[in-house]
Amino acid sequence: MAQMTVAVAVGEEEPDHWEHHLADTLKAGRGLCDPALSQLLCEDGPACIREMDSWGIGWARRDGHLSQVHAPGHDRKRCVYVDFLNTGPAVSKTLRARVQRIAEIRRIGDVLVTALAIEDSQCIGAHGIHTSSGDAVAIAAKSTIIATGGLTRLYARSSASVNMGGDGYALALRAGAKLVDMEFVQFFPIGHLAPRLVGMDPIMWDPFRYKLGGRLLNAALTEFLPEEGKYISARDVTTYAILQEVEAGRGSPHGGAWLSFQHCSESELRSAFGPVIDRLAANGIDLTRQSIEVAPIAHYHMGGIRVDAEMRTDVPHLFAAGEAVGGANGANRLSGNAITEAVAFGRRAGTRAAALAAKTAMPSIKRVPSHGSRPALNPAAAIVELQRVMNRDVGPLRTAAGLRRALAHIDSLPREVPAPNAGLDPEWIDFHDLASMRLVAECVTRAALEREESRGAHQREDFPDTDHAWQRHQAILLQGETCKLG
Amino acid sequence: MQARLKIWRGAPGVPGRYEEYEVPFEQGQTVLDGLRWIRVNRDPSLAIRFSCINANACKECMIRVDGKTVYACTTRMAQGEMTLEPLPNKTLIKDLVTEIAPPDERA
Repeated sequence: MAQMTVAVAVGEEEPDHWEHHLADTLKAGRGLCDPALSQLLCEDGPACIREMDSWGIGWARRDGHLSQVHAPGHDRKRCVYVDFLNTGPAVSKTLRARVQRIAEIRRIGDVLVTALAIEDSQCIGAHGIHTSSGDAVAIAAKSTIIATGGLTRLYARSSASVNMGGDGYALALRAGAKLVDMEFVQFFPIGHLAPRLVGMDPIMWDPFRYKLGGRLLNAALTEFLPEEGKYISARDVTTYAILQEVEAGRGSPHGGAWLSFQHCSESELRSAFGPVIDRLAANGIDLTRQSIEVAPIAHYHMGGIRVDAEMRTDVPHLFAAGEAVGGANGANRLSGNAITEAVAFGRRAGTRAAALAAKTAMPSIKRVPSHGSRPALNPAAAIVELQRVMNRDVGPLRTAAGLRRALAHIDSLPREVPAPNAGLDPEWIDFHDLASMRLVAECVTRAALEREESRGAHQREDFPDTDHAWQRHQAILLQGETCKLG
Repeated sequence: MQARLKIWRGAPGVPGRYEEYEVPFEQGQTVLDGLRWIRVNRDPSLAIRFSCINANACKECMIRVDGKTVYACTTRMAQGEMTLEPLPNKTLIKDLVTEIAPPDERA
């Protein structure tokens, strides 16, 4: 979950305009952004951020204005945040509280959506399972929005929660929608590696670098990026630089890089991060005396469901929003654009879906009993193995041989989801997740194999150069059981 | 290092029992790491609830460890035996999983 920055041209720290933010976003996207979606993110961002301010989110302030920091890839101080390391939780708490105040909105938890309901090619709701009871659930809807986030749970090293297995992509694909740019998975370069920390998000060193700089060092304790203690390198650049140091035998003991804040005094650390310093101490870490180890970690997916600027997918009455949408960030996302995208796209999708619902009759759908036999394997173990394969062969550095090896493994995994047993059936949830993850992993891997060039987050060791002819998107459509690229 | 996790297993209408698992661990690993290891290596039918895995952000992995209410993701495993039970003051769903959703968010 976001620890700190939200990029938005509110111009409180210094003059800014959403067009400057857009220029930086397009540049970071390495020629692959969908300009209409990038513009929506940058243009609508300020109003969304100010609206959340009026709802009491508590953006950090100084001298009577919103405090904004400089993040890598931005041309000025543009990123608002909530202290300390609290941006993501504060956003979700604020939005949840707003939703709870609207009596007409019914919220249902512990339901796992297994399929979208499609009639005459139009989305009319969703089928699911109430996980605690195993009962089938059918939800009729005049319009439907997929807002399920990304797919980083496909990777062994990730900052994902367990619901990030790409379910939404699988649902959209099976309903007839197209996915785009699936090969572009962003690895956050300085994910925590060692020593073991608990109760902390592995992307926590991002805000430390925003506020305090910090030095990224190899085994010889030398800076290997031209940073001189400043946090200025783009995410894709830093990720490859760390992996190259490791490959050359200059990595840290656990296979990453050292990150040092030993230039900071205890009082500087405390003033920047307050209680977080105590949580680090409880984990036995004193940053004034020791460096920590960091390494790339799967963090965000630039690709996703194809939508137009109204957030409409290729399936009528089906919308998408947030990270589930592909295209706004091209081949590499700028730091701080994820929450802006979530709120700007969410607002647009909600408005448009509500307008469509207002002129649509309520469809009727029936509960569908699920069937299918249970494969003889431990699905929890199969998920862990898939994550290991994806990290090794479809991670930040790719080759044709590795991608083919991954495809062979993916192909060996079961496609069918068995029927759940009565009551909570954790094994069934894993079978469900495995089937979605298998399908989405296939999309990422096939698109990565096809793209014979290197661009942003997609780096092919066998095609290290960027090829102008590849400045185009790949879309994926499901035909029967086959993912078809076009 | 090895920990012995003694885990309460059961569901509404099913008599409860304790099952014991020997779990290998490295210094610093958590009870949640141990529970996930059991599901992958021993028994995927073991029911546990968690979402964010390590950040202590989702607050869903609350259980009883040796009689104390804790988060499984921030409680370190220790050598020897640890007893794991579901929260006693919540409706039991299965094994270590209890009903924690607010009443107006239930299906």
